[in-house]
Amino acid sequence: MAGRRLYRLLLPLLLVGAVNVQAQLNGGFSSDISFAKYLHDKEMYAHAHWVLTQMPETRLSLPQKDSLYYWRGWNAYASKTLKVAAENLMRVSDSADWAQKSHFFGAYCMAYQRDTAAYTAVQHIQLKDSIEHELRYFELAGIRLLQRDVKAYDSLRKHFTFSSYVMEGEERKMDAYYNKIMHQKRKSPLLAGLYSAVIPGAGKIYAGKKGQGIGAFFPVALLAGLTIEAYNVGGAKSARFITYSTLFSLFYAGNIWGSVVAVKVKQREQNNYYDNQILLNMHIPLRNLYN
Amino acid sequence: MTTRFYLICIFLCATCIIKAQQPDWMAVADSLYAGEQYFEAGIFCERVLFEQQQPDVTTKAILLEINCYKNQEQFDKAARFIAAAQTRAVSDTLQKALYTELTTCYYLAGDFDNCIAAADRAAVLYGNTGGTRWMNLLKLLSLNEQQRWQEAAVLYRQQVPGDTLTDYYAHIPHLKNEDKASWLATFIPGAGHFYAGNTLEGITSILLQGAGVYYGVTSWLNGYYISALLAGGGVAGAFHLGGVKRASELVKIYNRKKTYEFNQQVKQSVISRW
Repeated sequence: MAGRRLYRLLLPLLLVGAVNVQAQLNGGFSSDISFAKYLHDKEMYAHAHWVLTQMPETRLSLPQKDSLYYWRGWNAYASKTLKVAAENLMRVSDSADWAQKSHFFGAYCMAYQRDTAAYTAVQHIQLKDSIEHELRYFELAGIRLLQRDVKAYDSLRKHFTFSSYVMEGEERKMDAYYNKIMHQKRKSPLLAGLYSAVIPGAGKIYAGKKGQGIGAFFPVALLAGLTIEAYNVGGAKSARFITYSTLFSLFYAGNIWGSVVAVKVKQREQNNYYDNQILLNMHIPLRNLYN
Repeated sequence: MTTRFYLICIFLCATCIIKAQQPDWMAVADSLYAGEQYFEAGIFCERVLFEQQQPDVTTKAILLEINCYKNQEQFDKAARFIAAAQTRAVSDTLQKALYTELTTCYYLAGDFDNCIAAADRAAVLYGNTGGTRWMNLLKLLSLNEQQRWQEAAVLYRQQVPGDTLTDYYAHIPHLKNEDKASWLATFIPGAGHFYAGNTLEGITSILLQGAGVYYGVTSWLNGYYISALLAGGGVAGAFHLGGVKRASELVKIYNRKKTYEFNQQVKQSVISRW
């Protein structure tokens, strides 16, 4: 009899306990996420990262997991750890409210790291409206231009409307970079070397390094003058002639080699410049639309 | 038997429900701090501030977080945190404690301008009470670092009247003039280096410039006019210009060394007497 009464008392207690534990779990999660957001807003990214990585992924509902991945990714993005950002942002499920934002930014982080999977990642984003459709083509075109696949860019750019407030300017700029890349003159390292062999420094000027070209001319010319004088006054066997002619030869050959390298360096610099501009252009519409 | 089982279950459930309350973040922070996990302890202090708990707990959290930053030697971050925390500190005692910490962190971060400014603000707000003495010490040390020894001497006399330490300030280091070193090196090779107190470099500079001139003259006399002008002149000119620049740099190094030695001497004496 007493046992039955106690059993009746135990049942509601167990029920309240279960509800309480669930509420604790939910409350704990939302409180932790709010705290991480607070740290993120205060630009304490390392602290927010620590809080977010301490939060266990097990026993979380799908929306909670989405929220966790989003904040992990967004915080990593703000602290410029793009690999972590891409990994977490791409893990946000399609059902999340901020799925599009997460996936676009995640794919952007991948593109920034020259990850070839970035293109596929953008292709698979579930879109909501026409602006996002155009944004997808814009991002895909950007990725193709980064890969210097101008044919693919050309076909993707046909979807640009040049009328969206989000990316109108960037579409024009992207086209401008496309044109510059298309009409970029490929300079020959061999020709640069030949120019420098005829006139020291000319190869560097041809490569696009005017200052370096002028700077390279004077020491070689000076050593040439000293060598000629040493030959005229002291003859071919004089120590002065041997010293200066050796130095002249070294500088002359070095200048030719330097001109060959200068073409490659200039090419790399130009490519880096265009890449940075393309990435900047890909980034601006994302900020415009989602921030 | 069954009754006992139910009683145990009821006891456990009730305990569990009663115990399920807000964690004590401050206690967590304290234990992490005691375990020298300063980064983590700082996060839990921030958690206390985020949860906006009781004022006394908040005060404790602010002071502990400052110590966490200091233990990580992040004095500039600590100073920024204190400046932000000042807005939420309501009590005068905490405000004063924050000024003391702020001045300390600015000093340790090497931000002497702000250290002096914070000490001055505290002096205006709190007059010559307990904590301001420490801030005045830091202000004095900052003035020393900025080579404002006359002002430091005046401050010392105000704070410790009748002390003999001011004798130090009667013998403040004689700093050398960078411009003078440059001018000397321009007109007399090596003289700027000698003035800066570096004899070896002075002699080297004379020898290098002399070698350039010698080569130029002998080349000219032997009919190598281009060599004389371009090689001899070039070498001598390059070493001359380099010498002028180096003489100025040597004076800078000399002044830095003298300032450091003097400040260290004063710092040790001041701290022992303050």
